[in-house]
Amino acid sequence: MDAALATPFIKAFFDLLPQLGFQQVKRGNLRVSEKMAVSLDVIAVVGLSQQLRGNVAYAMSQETAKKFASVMMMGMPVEQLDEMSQSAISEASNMITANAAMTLESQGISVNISPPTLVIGQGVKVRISQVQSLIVEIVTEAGVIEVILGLER
Amino acid sequence: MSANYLEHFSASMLQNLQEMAGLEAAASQPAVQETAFASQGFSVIIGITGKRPGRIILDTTQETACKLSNTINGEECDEEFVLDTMAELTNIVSGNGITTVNNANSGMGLMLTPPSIFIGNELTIVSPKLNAEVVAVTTPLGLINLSIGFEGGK
Repeated sequence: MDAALATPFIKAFFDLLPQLGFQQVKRGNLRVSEKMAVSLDVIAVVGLSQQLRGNVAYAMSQETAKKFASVMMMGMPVEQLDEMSQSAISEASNMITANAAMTLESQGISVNISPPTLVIGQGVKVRISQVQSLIVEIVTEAGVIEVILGLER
Repeated sequence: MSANYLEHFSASMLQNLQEMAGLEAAASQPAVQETAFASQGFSVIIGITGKRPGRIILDTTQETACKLSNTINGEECDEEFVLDTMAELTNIVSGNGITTVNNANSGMGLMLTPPSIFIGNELTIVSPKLNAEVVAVTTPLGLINLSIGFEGGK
């Protein structure tokens, strides 16, 4: 896939995470992933339709997921990835994808997004696209979030 | 949107299992799906965009996915092949179902996103804020659950 398509998603993290209470947002490594890859434990997947088709998945460890939810909930301790913290992560992935969709829209690429689905497990094998996926790391104080992009124009 | 939209999806599922694999399958009545549920191990997820965004999940065991792929293609279990077959089956069933819903509800403009596939031994799938229903499809090769959820009411 075209690596330029990752830019709106990275921008969305820099736009939104400070608003959600994060102090630290950095871009980490970028790599090309096999079509089928073993992912981190907590994955939020959002589908895209119209001029850009595919999926974007936000993957993180259990530990990062709990810390991420805690930051979103004003530092409230999160011991378990319960319903409320699952909902927080799902909502964040929805906001980030919607923000990226608006950037794409302003570039003349019209995109609709589906609601996020969370998949939680260990050693989950994932295939989000028929094409090779790109993985961009976003580093926050909660830990690393892998943004897996499998998009086609 | 009528509450019996799920019947179109399950009818398409039964028809495709019959036509593609020669399998006689039976579908249960729709049941309410909890926000979080345990996957059987092999899940295909297709997103729905438009006026009523949502998602479709086909969930089965890795064994059933493999057997079904073998029956349809007549080949031994090759992981890539199993993934393609199950993604395509979910695509066809979702496409049929969505077309029926769009035809019955003008202006709904529902579209599908490409399938994503998740495989693992202890997967939990969570769809916050969706109202979902599930149909259990019993086939000679094993159980396939078809879950459809939309944002907002039914």
